[in-house]
Amino acid sequence: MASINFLLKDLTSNGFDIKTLENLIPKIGMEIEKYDDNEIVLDITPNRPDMLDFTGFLRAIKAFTGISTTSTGIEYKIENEPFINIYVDEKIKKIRPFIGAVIVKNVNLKENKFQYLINFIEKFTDTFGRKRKKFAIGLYDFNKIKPDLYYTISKNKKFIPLDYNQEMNFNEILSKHDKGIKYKNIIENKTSKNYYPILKDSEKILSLIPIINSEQSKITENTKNLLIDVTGISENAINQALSIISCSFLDQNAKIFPVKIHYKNKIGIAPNLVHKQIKIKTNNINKNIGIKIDEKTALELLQRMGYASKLKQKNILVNIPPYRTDIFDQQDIIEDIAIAYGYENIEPKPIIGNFEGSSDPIKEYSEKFSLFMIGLGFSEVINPVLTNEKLNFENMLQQYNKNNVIKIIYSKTEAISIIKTSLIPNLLNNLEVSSNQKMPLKIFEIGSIFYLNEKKINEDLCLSFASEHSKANFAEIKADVSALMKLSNHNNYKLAEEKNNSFIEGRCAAIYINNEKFGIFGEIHPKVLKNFNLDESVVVAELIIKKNIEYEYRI
Amino acid sequence: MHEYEKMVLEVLKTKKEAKVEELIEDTKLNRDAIIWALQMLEQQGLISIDRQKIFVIKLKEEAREYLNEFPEEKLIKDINKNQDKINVNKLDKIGIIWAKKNLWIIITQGLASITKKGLDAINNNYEQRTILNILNKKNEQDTDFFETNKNIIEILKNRNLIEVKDKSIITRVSINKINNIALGNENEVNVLTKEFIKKYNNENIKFKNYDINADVEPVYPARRHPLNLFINKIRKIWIELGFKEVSGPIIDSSFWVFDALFSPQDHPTRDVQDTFFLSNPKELDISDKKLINKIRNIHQKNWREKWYEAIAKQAILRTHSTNVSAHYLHSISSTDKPIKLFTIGKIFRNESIDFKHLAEFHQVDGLIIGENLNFSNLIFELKRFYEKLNPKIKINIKPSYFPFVEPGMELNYLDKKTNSIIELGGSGIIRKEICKAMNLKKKNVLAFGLGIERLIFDVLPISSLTELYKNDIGMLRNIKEIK
Repeated sequence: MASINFLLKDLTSNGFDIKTLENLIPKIGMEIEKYDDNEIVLDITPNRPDMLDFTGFLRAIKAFTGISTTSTGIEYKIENEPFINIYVDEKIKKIRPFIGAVIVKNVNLKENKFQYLINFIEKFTDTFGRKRKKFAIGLYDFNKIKPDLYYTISKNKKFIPLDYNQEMNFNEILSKHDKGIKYKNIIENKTSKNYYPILKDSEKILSLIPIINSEQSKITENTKNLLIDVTGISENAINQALSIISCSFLDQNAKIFPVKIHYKNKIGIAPNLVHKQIKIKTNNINKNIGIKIDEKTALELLQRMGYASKLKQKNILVNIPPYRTDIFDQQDIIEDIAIAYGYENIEPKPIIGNFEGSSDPIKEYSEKFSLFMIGLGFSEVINPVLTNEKLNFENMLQQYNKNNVIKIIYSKTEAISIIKTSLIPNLLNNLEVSSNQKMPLKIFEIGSIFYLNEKKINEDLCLSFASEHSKANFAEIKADVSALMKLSNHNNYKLAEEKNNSFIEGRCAAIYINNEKFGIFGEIHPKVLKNFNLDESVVVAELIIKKNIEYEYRI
Repeated sequence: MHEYEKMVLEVLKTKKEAKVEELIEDTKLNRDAIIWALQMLEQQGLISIDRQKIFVIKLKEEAREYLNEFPEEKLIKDINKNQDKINVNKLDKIGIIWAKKNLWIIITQGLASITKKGLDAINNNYEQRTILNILNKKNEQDTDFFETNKNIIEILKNRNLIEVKDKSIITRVSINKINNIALGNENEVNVLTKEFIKKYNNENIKFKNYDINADVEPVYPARRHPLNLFINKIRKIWIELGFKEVSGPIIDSSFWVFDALFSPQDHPTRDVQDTFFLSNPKELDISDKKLINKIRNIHQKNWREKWYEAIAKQAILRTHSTNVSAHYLHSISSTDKPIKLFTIGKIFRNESIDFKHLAEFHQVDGLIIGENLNFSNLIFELKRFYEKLNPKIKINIKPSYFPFVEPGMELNYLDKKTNSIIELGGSGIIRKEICKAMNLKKKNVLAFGLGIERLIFDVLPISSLTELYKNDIGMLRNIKEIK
């Protein structure tokens, strides 16, 4: 979701007061994040970048409410000429290969339109443009530009960056200017020998791409003619961005003039405003949504979503405006029809047929063990899967074997770095936070532990339990383990003395079934107790109740 | 007279008075037994007990954040720093409420400005914070302290920052009538011994009366964790609605979490800032090479960007349990009969965790695979589920966007306590391209993914999720059963 601010008075003057908006916005699939007397902040879903633009947003809600359908069905067209040329240097290919641009003439940026344009461009490049990585947009006062233009690379040079009063060289911009610091990662590793991507006209540098434009060609409220460039790594995204921008200005009665892009082996013309046509049958609409509408209603609903459409024999031909870059095929049209119909108006209908529900055998299996544990007087706890080396190994006096532990690349929280290999450390933590409670404290947890075995992820389902009180000892935990083995029909297990740093030597045992180790139990070593600030004796057991879980996805 | 009572009296006869600890020492009985014996003796008027009432205070999780600064303190400092009136919508809500109550600020036409009293407050110690810090250092306080600071403690209690319980502790016991002790009333029957029952033949015997109001030690039965009880409730409902429960891995390749669900490879959630990527293992193999190609094709056709297998192989912790749905879409064949599936499990988000935010959540994810299924069927199933789960909450549906469904919808409800809309999850019809890639061309697939934690506040008396994961046994022992 991307958020965008509009002034309430601009919406009210178009017939949308806050009450109307509160009802309307969710219906078109967006959200009101917040509002006050002055401003409204909207959340726009990522498929509709055209609605981050005030003109685009207004166009959508006007059509939806039927207030105005003037934009519906118009053909978005650019002028044929005059055009300007942009020459693309072959050497830019490795850094940021593509550029597109348009000339917009006769624009009106007065009142709040200037601010809306700036906000839109910022949000658009931030979300759809993936923080300028996929594409970035530059705005220039066309009257201050001397064509032709060159998209090329340059050594470290000086120019006055936007909103500054003195020259800075490219290096300084990248290390000191806030935009430089924010976006330098996009070009940093791609520039060799201190060459930087720039856009220049026949006289001067217009922009350090995609960081910052020059002060000299800056636009203001009074700018009448604009050059807009879009550079990036995706030709498709650049075309889509230019389509959305062009339609917005055309809706504001400006004129769009083309730009010829000269690559080494091809010449392209921007913008390329495509009006796609999609065929759909009413029957198909009804079948997918579960409603019954006729052709006439379908055409009306399409109009409310901003589509001009007509009936041709049994088919509806839907004309997709160029700013709807999210429409792939029929199913996207069907969603829009459902939105216009109103989700709340769709009558819920039961599915016909017999379906037999059942629970997952592994869940049932662990539920059985939970029941045993309750019977033995242990209460259940639930702990996170994510942990850290200190808690999982160091506090338990265990060796940390890097190769076998599943590790996370980056976490925002220090307490998270690996996936746990035992449930016991968390249980001891739980006892620690409960130290003011009346003893004995008896807790259990059933959950998965993870480790790597010959580079393969191994998931074992474990049952661990702990008992803390002044008289907790090996005999007690052995009695509980024995009872559990009996309850779960394991009568052929064997115990063997086990050496484990977390436990007191000579008071720790491992459980074997058919010579395979399935668990461990005993008295926790006082050093470990100290690490967890525990002041009474603690005994624990950890049993693998299902070894090496593999998911087969069978129904 | 019971054995324990006799033992305690024996000690008191010589000592005349004693503390509970001394009695434990001398009789070797445990504390519970002593307390019981003392109560029995007190009822018989044989001994006197001095009791003192003390207050036990527990700081709530949120209060820890307040120890250095209360929100209202931060708020007036911020206003003062700006030297200006600030629009109230830009300020912390809790801060506003208390700054207003304290008469530190006044609000006119939506703008907050600081008062004289507010300016004074900036330079002085805030009494709420002072008391909170004292309580944090020493959690047992006597009646004197409590009475002196009653008002402030009451405020902290109402702000849900502290929990106060009183308990009476025995400070001293002393013996009353030394001469009568041996007498007691030996004719009354106290404990029913085995011999007594054997010999008993309806004689006219007087049983010793007990004080039914006497305190007994609380018993704490073993309990399931409330979150698992809630999850089981949800499982039961889906099963009743004809869904088959399945499960899948929490560690998976990006392919099953993202690519197979049509999430573009440069999507912002596919970033280390949002998702946990693994360094060991870095990659996981995707076994079905044909499927890889089909998925590559739908990505390149619709997103018109290059698609990289290496990105799809990256090992991650799933951000939704929909990866299980993706695996099942792959394994189910077009000749299988219609089926409803669901899975419940942990999902992960790379969040900075504090007392309000977690990195692990639970999600229930479901699929309905069949022919001639439509959007109205999906709405029906989801509404049925929530009706069964909690008939009191009214579910709203609205359009929303998720890359793998079309049409897509969001489910939410209006939380009347906070007057805010709580998102419950997303749902929709799986895109045809995905069905086709999974060899389910002729099937319709309905899908949903719903958060679980969001709903738990309605059934459990807790204020934050971290309370559940802390597993404070005191909380687990005393928490109410889920509704």
